[in-house]
Amino acid sequence: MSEQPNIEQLITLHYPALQRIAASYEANHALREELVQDMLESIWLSWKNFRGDSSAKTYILRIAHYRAARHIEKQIKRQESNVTETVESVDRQHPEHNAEQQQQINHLLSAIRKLPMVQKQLITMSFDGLSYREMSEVTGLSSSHVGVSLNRAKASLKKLLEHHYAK
Amino acid sequence: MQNDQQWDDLTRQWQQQPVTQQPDINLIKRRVRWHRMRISGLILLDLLITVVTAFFLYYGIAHDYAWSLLLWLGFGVAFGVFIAFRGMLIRIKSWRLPALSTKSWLDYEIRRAQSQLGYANLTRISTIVFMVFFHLWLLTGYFFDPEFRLDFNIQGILIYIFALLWMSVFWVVANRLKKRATNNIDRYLVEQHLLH
Repeated sequence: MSEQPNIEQLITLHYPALQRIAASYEANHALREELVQDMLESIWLSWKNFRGDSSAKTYILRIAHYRAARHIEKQIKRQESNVTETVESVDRQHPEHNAEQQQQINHLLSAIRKLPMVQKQLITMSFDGLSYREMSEVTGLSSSHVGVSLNRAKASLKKLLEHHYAK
Repeated sequence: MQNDQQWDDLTRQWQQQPVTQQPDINLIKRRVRWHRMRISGLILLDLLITVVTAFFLYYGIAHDYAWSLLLWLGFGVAFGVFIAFRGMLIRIKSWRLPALSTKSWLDYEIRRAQSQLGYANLTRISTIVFMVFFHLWLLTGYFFDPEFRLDFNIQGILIYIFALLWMSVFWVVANRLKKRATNNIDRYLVEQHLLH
């Protein structure tokens, strides 16, 4: 039987996913960084309470989404940052990405941020390849409910993207 | 998304987001240490407030202070203990908060916001009740107690102004809490509604 990974290994393993989740909630680069740090802190603090009722991955993602929801609560009065800032921040940090890729990513993120909270969570988890059962563990919804809600979320995302490209 | 190809493209775009591969573990450790210190400090402060207000009441009783002043202190202690212990509970809860159950975080958030709303309403009602009793006591003393009228000096007026300011702060904070909690409940109920 393989040894259970420690928290440092787990955080390193899921760090890219956490950054992607943060991007789906927060457009402002500095606030997004802060959100990722908040997620990491919460995961670190709560890891000792992990009892193995779910997989480590879904436990970590549940905390990350929960922390992101609390972040939105805090930032609710702040106007949504514009897309230009996101493009700039991506440019500055990752010049290897070409302009077209960056535009596509920004349009996608912008549309995802407009989705209701749970739809946003389901869509991002689906993109990250989680199964219905795993999504159910993260959100607390039943697997069948996840299926229905995810289909609605996909339809909403499609509409938002079509609306964006039609402009 | 009916078109699988389109969905695959979006998935690829999502996964191509530029990310940093290595987190700064030392930064996380520093933040965790700071978090623990901050919460411990706040809990100590709550305890200190409770002990100090209780000490003042004890001191007043031991030195045979006038009943009116003891009543004041009594109210102060009761209010202080209520606020301090409630604050302590919130802080201890916030420490353990990330350890979520497997229940829906949305239900959890709605319950949390409802609890905040209850606390805000309780603080508002306590403030109103306190102000009503306080003014009734002042008016009764002023009109029906000659000794009380004699004691009505500049110090009394300053205490009165201080009490008004203190209660106003409670009132404003409680109202802000109420507004925030109501907004959060509305927002989460909309989220819940969208799921069904």
